[in-house]
This record gives sequence, structure tokens and C-alpha cells, in this order.
Amino acid sequence: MTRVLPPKPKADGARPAKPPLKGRAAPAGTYDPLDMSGPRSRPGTRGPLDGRMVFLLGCFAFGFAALAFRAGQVALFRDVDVARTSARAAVEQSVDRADITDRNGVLLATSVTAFSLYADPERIWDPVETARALRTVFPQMDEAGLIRKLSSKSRFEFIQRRLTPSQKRAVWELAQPGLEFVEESRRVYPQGQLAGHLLGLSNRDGDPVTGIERAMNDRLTAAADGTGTEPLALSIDSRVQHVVEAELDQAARLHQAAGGAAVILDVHTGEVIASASWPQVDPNVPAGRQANAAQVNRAVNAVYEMGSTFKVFTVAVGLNDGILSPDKVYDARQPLTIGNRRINDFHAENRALTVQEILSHSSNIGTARIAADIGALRLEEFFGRLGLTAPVAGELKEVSRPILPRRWGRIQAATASYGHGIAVTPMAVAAGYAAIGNDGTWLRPTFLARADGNAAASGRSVLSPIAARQTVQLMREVVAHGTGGRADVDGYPVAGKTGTAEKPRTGGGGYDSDRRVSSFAGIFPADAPRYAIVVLLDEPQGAAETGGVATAGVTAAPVVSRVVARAAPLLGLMPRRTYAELSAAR
Amino acid sequence: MTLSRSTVLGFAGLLALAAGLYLAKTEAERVRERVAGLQEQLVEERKALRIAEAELVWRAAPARIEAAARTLGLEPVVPGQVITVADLSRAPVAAAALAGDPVAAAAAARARPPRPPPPPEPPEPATPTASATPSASAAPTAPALASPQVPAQAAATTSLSVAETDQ
Repeated sequence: MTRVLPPKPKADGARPAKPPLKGRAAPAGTYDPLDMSGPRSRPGTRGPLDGRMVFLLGCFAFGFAALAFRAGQVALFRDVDVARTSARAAVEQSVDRADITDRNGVLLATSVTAFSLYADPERIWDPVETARALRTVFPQMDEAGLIRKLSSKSRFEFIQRRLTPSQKRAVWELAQPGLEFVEESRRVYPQGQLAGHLLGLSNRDGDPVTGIERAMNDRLTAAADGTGTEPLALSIDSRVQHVVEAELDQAARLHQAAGGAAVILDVHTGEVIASASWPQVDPNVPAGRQANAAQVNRAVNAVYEMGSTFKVFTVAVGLNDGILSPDKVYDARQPLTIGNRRINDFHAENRALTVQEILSHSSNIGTARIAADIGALRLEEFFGRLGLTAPVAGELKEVSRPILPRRWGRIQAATASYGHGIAVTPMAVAAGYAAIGNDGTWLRPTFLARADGNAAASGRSVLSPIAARQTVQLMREVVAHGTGGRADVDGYPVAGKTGTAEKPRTGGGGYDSDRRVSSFAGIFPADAPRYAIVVLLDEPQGAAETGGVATAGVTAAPVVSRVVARAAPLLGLMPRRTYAELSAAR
Repeated sequence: MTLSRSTVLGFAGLLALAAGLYLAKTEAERVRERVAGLQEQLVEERKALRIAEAELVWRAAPARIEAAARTLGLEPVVPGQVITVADLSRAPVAAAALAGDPVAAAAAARARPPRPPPPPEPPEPATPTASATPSASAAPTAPALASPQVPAQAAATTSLSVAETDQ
């Protein structure tokens, strides 16, 4: 191994010629191995202020001066607030999506920090061992798939998103190398299924696909840029919502229904106090892992031919227009034939009936005769003003359009007057009843809490107060002495109307007498209406408790009774009879 | 080279000022770091708080409370149990407590003859049914079980619903 060394300068004191200055300044006393120009002088062989020395000193002086200047600048003048502001930003960023609460501030949805588990396959010793260990924590995972992931070439493989704290601890305790956690925000619904449809479901990536989460996404995510961390207050009362869901669930199970829905509206503000759909969903579970049939929000996203609950609307417009009085008599002795259509009564009385009796006995014939007096044009116009011919969804995006008669002829008006040939959502019916309950102003239902008293301005007048009150009285009679008796509550008078509608045959004309929609729509308390309520059961079956009958009077009406009995005290309503009277009655 | 006395003093003063400023800045830096650390801790605490809040709501969810109450033999309130404060006139302690006036409640309690001491608690943890019975039997004689801190309506319904199950 040979190395070419530069020739050593002779130490004879002979002064060689000064080499020309090159582009770079070699430190004094060293040799540039690339410099072949010949021997150079040793340091210190010339005077202290040799030109090169001055130059080098100048360089050093300049360098130190620059360093001193910068050090002083950093020490004395650096922006004071850098650290603080960045920390504050981190505090604010920890809230990335606004909470959702009920009208009383009870938490319905919040975001918490969750840890997602990922693997760094390069750092995993034994994919098989790690996979087996992981399956002790996540037994549902596929072992082969896990091994494939853990032995992949990448450096980042998600194993499980958004672990629960106990899962995280369990994985931690496996003490396997190459398993790491990354922080992610996770949306949680601490009340589980409560108001699941209303809050909304999300897809696998956590993006909202239904409900308030989707409809109000912009408002909720405004929190991310620090402008709107205020929780979003919904109009629902979580206690009442629970009562409604629990009672609807019990009735739907008892009657083996295919579905169910229930709505309570504040008649004076249009606020939705409770909105339930059965079967229930759990918003904590991604939409893909829930039954399809359960995902429909039947309160706003399913339409039903409501049947007799529509008779109240027909009578209301008749009273409003001065065509009817509660005592006016209609002939219901014979089935009514309009064109080729024959209208029968379910509970045929076969006699002349007053308007009151038409409602109390739910006479189709009588109602169709009233509709004939009102006229198809006026009935269509009134149903439109009552919000029955347009989607009624509140803020939600998923909503069904009503199914309406193509043209409103005499036959269509006659059937629509008792709720056939027209299909609407339970929410639309509740809004219509609310208008009757508040002396005739239709208010658009809302799922957001309203500040007190600013709602009435946005409504539209649909009935005279006198007609509205007369209608409430007629409905009160239906509950006090008619088909709706089981909806009543001692202490909280309920007014309302039952509706048992046969469902249209699938794939053919006519109606199926075995499949029906049983509903009750009403108002409470009847003497000073505050809330409208609709309860609907889709295809209920007769139960032993109801003597095998599945009409609305024995399926939906008792739900209303139990809901009102439990919810009215929560809503701050005092019973109409005193404690002593009620105790004596029991 | 000679420097005048004032020049030397001036330089010394300048150096002292610079040193003082440097120390102050260093101290400020230290404090800032501490603030940043605390802010970070705050973030962590807030995260923990959110989880705790969510857990609290989950534990107090109506569905869970109802299930728990039913295992204790409690039932939903019926309208006959909803009463006004005026209905409680025969029980001044309860009336005052429900009206949210602890001072009046205390005064009323003093005016009443002292109650006999409560029966001794059973030593072992009681079964749900066993624990429901003593409070139920105690309720009619002492409807003032609710403390002033309990909201009026909740107090009225809870204490009475215990009473009603006894009938």
C-alpha cells in the first residue's frame, strides 16, 4: 500500500517564495495534501502581522462576532409567545367535533381520544406468535390474515381502529414488540341506543351517513377551526326519549311488529321532544354492521297510509269552513259507492251518525260524506297547508316524500279523507296534530332546541282557533268514550284518534286484511294542549294480552297511555286531579 | 492605552445589564417551558375528563337506571304520585326541603319532636329486596328523606315511588 506524501519542507530556514493565495484558506500550520506547489514555510517563521495571519484573524473575528450577535439576538429578542401559543392551539385542537346534547344539556354524543393499534412488521420477531397473542385480545380476528399482515414488507399495518381502554391495556400487556398505538379521535354515544336514528349512523371510517351527525356536519365540525366548540343542543328530552323508546320497544315485541315509530312534538314551538324508530340502532356501531331493516328512521323516512287518524284533519277543515258542526248528522246506514269504489265501515253502526259519532266510531262512510261536502279541491289544498303533501323532516337529510293521489277526484278525496290512498310519515301526522293543538298554526318540526318563544312567527295559520278547539274536544270524546279509550291517563286527559289501516297488497291492487298499520295520534293534556304524540306499529300481531286483536285501540293506544303517564311528570305537567283524588280513585 | 474611569464604569454597567437581562430571559424561558408543560398536561387532562364525562353519562343513562330500579322492585311513577309542595303541608321538613330552603327545613326540624334513632343497619350487605324494604316502610312516616340538594321534582318522585311500592 503506497501513499504519495507531499514532500517535506526542509527546515533550513530558507524562505521559499510566497505561494499565491488559493480560493480556500488552509489553516496555518497544516499542509494541504492536494497542494503540489512545493514546500511551504512553517508557522511563526515570519512577523506577527503577516498578511495571512491578518486575514485569518479577520475571518475568526467576523465569525465570532456573527455568533455573538445571533446569540444575543436569540437570548434577548426571541418571540416570547411561540411556546405558549402553540400549546394553546393544541388545547383547542383536542376538541375536534362539537358535542351533541339534549335540550337539558345531557350529553348524547361526544368525541374522546381513542388509540388505534398498528403493527410495524419489520420489528416483529415472530408473526405467528404475535398473531396468536393478538387473538387472545381480539378473538374475532382471522389468524391467517393477521400473520399475513404481520409479515408484510410495509412498516405500518392497522390491526384494529379505535380500541377501548381495556383492549388497549390488554394489548399493552401482551408485551409484543412491533405493536404500536396511534391516537385517534373517536365519536361515542354514551347513552347507547338512545335516539340512535336521530343522532345518526356512521360508516366504517367514522364519517356520518345519517341523522343529525350528517345533517349538521358543518356545524359540528366548525369546532375543528376553533369557531364553534359550543355543544349542539337538540330539542329532544333524553328522559322522555327513553320512555318513548322503552314503551315502543315493549309493545313492538309484544305484538311482533315489523317496525314502529313514535314522535312527541311541542305544539307551541314545533320542537321534537322525542322521536323513536323501532327496531333500534346503536350509533356506536358502524352502519355496515347493523341490520338493514333497523337502519330506517321510521319517524321521518318511511311513509304509511295512516288510516283513521286522518279523519281528524277532515273534520277539522269542515269545522273551519263552517260546513260542519259537531252535532251535524250524516247518513251511515248504507255503504257508500263512489264510481266503482265501495266504502264500508269497519265497526258498522248502520245508522245516522253525528260528526262526534263519526269520529268516535271511526266511520269511513261518514267521513267520506263529509269530504264530499268539503270538496276535493279544498281537501287537497288543506292537506297541503297542513304539511301532509310535502316532506317533513326537521333538519334531517333522510326523509321520505309522501305518496299522494295522482289527481284529486271524488274517489281520491273520499279515501284520503279517512287516510287511504295517501301515505305520509309519522312526523307529518304529528305536525298536523300539533297545529290542531296550538289553535291552528302549523309549525315546521325541528330537532334543535329553540330559545323560548321565537317559534310562533315561523308558522302558518291553517285553522281558526275555534275550529281547532272544537276538534280537540271531539278527539277528547274519542278517548273518553270511543275507540281510543286505552290511550287515556288518569290525571292527564288525552285527546286523539286511533287508526288501523290495512296495508296495500305487495305487487297488486287492493288491501291485505292480515297486514296493517296500527297507530294513535293525539294531543295531551286535552284541556290545555302542550304536546302532540303519534305512536305507530307496523304489522302488529294479536297478542294473548289483547285477546288476539291487533287494532290500534289495543296496540298503539296503550303505548300512548303509558308514555304520557311517565313522560308528563318529566315534562313538568301537573296532573289535572289532585293527589288525594287520584289516590282515592286507585 | 488608558481608559478613563467613567468608561470603565460604563462598560461594567453595560456588562451587568446584559448579564441581568440574560438571566431574566433564561428564567422567563424556564417559566415558559413550564407553561407549555402545563398546557400539555391540560390537554391530557381534558381528554381524560371527556372520557370520564362520557362514562358518567353512560352509567347514569335512563336505560341502565330503569333496569337497576326494576331489579329493586321499583316501578315507573304514576300520575297519582306527582304532588305539589302544598300537598306536603303536613310534613313541614319535606315541604321546606322541596322548596329548596335548607334554613327553613332546619328550623322546621328543630320545631318537631326528635325522631327516634333509626334502627341499626344489618351488618352484612343486604340483598336488593331486603334493602328496599326498610326504606319503603320508613317512607310514609318520614317523607323528608330527600335532602335539600336533590332537585325538587326528582325528590318528589323518587321518595314517593319508594313509598308506593310498599302498598
